[in-house]
Amino acid sequence: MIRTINLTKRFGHLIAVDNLNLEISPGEIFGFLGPNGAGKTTTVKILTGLLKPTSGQALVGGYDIQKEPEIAKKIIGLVPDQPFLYQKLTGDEFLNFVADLYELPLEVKKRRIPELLSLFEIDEWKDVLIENYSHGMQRKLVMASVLLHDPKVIFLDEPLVGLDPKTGRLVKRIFQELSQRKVTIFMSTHTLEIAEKLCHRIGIIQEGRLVALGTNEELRRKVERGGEMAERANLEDIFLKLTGGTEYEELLKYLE
Amino acid sequence: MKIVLLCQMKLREVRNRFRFMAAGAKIKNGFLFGIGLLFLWALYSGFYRVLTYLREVPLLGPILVVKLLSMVFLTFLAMLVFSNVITSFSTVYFSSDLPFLLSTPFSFRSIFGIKFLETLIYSSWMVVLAFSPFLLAYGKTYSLKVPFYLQIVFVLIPFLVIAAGAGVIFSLILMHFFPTRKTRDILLVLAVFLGGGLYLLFRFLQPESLVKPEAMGSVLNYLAMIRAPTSKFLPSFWITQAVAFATHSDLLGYIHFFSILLSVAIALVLISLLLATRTYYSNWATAQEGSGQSLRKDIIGKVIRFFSQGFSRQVRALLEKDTKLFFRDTGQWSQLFLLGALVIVYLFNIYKLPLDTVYLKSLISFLNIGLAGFVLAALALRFVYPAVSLEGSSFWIIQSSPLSLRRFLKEKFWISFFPLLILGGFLVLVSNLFLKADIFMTLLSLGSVEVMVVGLTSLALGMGAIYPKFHVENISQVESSLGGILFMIYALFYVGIIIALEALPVRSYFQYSLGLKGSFYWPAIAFTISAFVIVNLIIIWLPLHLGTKALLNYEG
Repeated sequence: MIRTINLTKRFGHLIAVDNLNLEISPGEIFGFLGPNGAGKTTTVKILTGLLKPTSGQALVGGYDIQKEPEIAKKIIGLVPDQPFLYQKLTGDEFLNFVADLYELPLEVKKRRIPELLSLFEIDEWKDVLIENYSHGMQRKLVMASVLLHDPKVIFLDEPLVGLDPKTGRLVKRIFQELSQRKVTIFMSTHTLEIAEKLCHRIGIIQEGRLVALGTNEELRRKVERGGEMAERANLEDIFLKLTGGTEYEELLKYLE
Repeated sequence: MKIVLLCQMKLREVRNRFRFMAAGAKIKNGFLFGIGLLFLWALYSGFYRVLTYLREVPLLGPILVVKLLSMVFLTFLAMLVFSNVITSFSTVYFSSDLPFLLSTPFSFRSIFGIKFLETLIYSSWMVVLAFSPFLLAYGKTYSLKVPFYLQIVFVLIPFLVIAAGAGVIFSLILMHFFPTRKTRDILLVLAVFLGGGLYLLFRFLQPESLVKPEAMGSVLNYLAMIRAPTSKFLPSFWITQAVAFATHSDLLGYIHFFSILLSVAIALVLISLLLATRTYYSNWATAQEGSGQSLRKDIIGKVIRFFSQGFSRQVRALLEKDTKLFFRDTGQWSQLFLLGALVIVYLFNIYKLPLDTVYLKSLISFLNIGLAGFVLAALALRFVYPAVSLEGSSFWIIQSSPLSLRRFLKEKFWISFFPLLILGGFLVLVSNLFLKADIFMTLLSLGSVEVMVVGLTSLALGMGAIYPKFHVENISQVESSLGGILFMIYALFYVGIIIALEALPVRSYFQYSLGLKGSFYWPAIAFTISAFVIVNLIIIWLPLHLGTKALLNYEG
């Protein structure tokens, strides 16, 4: 469902994404991890057509996002890390606008908008300008807008940031449900606990390069072969081992 | 002093902007700087000629110059106060660094101090730059040396501080009594309305009558008019007097008015600090609260849906969204008042023109096409050029949707085109009615202006897409950006070309109507018509094409 072939993105001398090769199947929940500035958001932006790659290809649902952007984007839903919205529209108007952009059949639009507003518990705010919404409510609205047009692939950049625990749990349930309906979820996150529990496979990126790819178990085995990892290592240990985060332990000693 | 630390931080920001500027941007800015200097030089030359002429008027010369000086300073003051009121709202209460600054241990007074300085600098630099050619020309007219210019700088500083103080105190008081965002919107509208009103008032005073003494009836009336000060209690009067005394090296007189300016400036700074200490934090905190109002009646939506039935669903959705955002964002539509003032002044000037001869009437009705083009270019800069940038940080919604950027620009085109088309037609028809132009000139003006509306809309939109500024705090930053200035240069060049191309056929027509034989030299006319078509096709197609490409490659 998602495929990248030698995907590379440079910003001047900086290589943000370096020869990335990925293949993600329908219905898979894929966790994309990496330290700050590793190239996660850049990858999401390329895969959703917000950025042009310097070289290589990105295919979503079999469509090249650069060559057939309009068809590819019809099946994509995006929740960016900072989802800025039109502050002078109401929540209801925003969802109607998105439905029209995606040319959703009118009867579907009429049915789904109230459903989603109620699912995310923002139906009482639907006629209020978005500028009055809290950060979390705005994220809920974006989440509702993404689900509106039944995308086949959903890209999420830090999906649970700003959501209260109740909505967080709801979103996780929705992801699992969607996955069973063969919707692919590409999730870039720092919340390792979520990735560990939710994702079928995990990719770890560092300085633009994919340094590890596999299921939780496969990643653990890979690290253990290095001989230093404890048997019951969690994703955080694996992540720190692979990205060199253990060096901070020295720093932490200073704090003690 | 904490305020010094904050000033250092701001200065570092400015320095870094230049330090980390890409090579391409440096070249572009250098080019613009050159154009700006040329423009200022042209202004300087114009003022110098006017001042030299006025100074040489027998007997009245020196009085006329001082009168002009006082009018210039009065305009200067009005523009500064107006600019400070508008700017202070956004810098003192709504700038994006305030949440950070207020979370630090800096005192509210220090933060307010730095915001006061920001307001002063943002509102004054451009006005000072625009007025500097006049002051330089004035100095040159009287062959004055460096000490005079230093004296000017010394009086300008308290003069600018007074304008900033007045603007900031005004916004402090208003925000104290009407702290919510909604009220700020209403006040912004009132402020813009006031600005438009002042502009109209100034225009209706007809400053040109100064150089037309014959219109004043008697010499005594005229003398009384020019000798009368605008108002002895306005800073513009004090600075005029200080400059006049400096001109004649009368140091005592200069110091007298300089002291008045300085003491009023200090008093206003102290008053604003006192007010800020008492109200700033609570005003700011309340201003963060939203209106929370509910919008159930969807009148705009209904009207737009009715009128946009011929368009695709995506374009209709965008039209509806853009119209709603326009009318709900006071910062945008409130400037319609200024637009109204501009149109009234334009038509008033045409109405008042002394058109004694057929030649003059014909010439003016032809040049009116250019004048209307200039007004439309200014409107396009204000309302069309920022159309893409107004998507702001929400542009990701458009980028990630299946809407093509070509279609996106198409919608922006239509939403800007129709209002400009109607306004352009109105301007030309009414002004031709005032000019009593014949049917040929009326139709030619109408046709030319409507074609120019298409060209200017495409140019403004295309340039706005080539130089988008999605991350700005207010719309004026979009207009005054590199792309905005380039648009204005290209637009004026375009209007000039159109006028130049139409000159020959129009001259032939006038010669023909005066009964001259062989008036039409057809090969030349065919050439100008072809050139007219080609220029317009280029201006309609090229900017939109380049704009679409630029948006496709946008990496914000």
